[in-house]
Amino acid sequence: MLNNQTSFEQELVSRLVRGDAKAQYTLYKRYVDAMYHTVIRIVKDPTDAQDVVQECFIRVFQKIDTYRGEATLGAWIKRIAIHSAFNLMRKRKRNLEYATDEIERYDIEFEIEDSDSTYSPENVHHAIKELPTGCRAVVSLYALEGYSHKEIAGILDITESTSKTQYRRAKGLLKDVLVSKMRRDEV
Amino acid sequence: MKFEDQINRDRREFDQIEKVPSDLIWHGIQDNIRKKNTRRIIIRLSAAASIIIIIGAFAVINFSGIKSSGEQFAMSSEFNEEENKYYQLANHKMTEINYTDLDRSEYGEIISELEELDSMYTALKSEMAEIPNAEKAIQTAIKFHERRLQILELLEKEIENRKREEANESNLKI
Repeated sequence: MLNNQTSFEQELVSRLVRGDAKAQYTLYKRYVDAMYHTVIRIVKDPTDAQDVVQECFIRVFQKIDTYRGEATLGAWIKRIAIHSAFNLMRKRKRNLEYATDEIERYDIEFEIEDSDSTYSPENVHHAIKELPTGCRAVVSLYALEGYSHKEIAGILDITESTSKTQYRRAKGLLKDVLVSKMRRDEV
Repeated sequence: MKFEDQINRDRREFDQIEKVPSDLIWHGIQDNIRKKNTRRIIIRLSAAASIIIIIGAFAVINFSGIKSSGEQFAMSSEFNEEENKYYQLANHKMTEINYTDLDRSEYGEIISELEELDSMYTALKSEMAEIPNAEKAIQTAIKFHERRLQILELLEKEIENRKREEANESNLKI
């Protein structure tokens, strides 16, 4: 019995295991937008994001028989997408850069008021892409993809405490990017 | 509201911001899958072509009247030498690719084709022993060995491709 699957997913998975091309396209259409956005927040470059998403779905189709339903199908595919993104960065020998500013500067909690005009999902999405690579990886995985600092530490090969520190710095830097965007828009 | 709570509230919107080149990516996926399938098909077709060569040789031997009644054909030492060279090359290749330990769930179809090819060749050789002028059959035998070697080379490439893909995947720590 697969724990986290809906009956639609169960049916889709069994068709995918049989190599059904229509099922592949259904799965693709269902998840491509989410995967592309997750990946581009990590790799930033649109062409790299295309390559990673392509590679991710090829892997999904090849490895679908290993999916055991322990996570939802979407979460399983997202994990493959995220790992493919970091794999590409490693292949390109792009070391993750982390923010090194004094941590005290970012100790204030990042609160968003309803009247706050700097915040919108679109602004935050683009602001994340402006962050140093390591920093944006941590903030994407923690705030958007729901990974714990322990899981992030495992994926990025850093300590849990580095992940936490980078997350605080990332939030501070995000706030800076959003505020300076607002100022630019006002001018 | 805390940053994290705000993001959670709007989470769906975060996946609808960029224009996703969905058709382009899908075509890339299709191309890639097609290429991988083509590699497999080429190997299988090569094996099938070799089988046809041997069947052709059988036809020549059995229906063209070159088969003798009882007269034994002694395979020329030149041919035996040539054949040994091919066997040595093939054995070397098989050792390189660790042929006997290949995963049958991965390469079963290709291995079966090669086995069929070998058993047909064994049968052909026993027929050849009855031919007084085996020039045609010898040419076929040489063709068989060349083909067999080519198939092993294609198989080697396929194994290398597969290893590269697996190495990429093992870096993923999924």
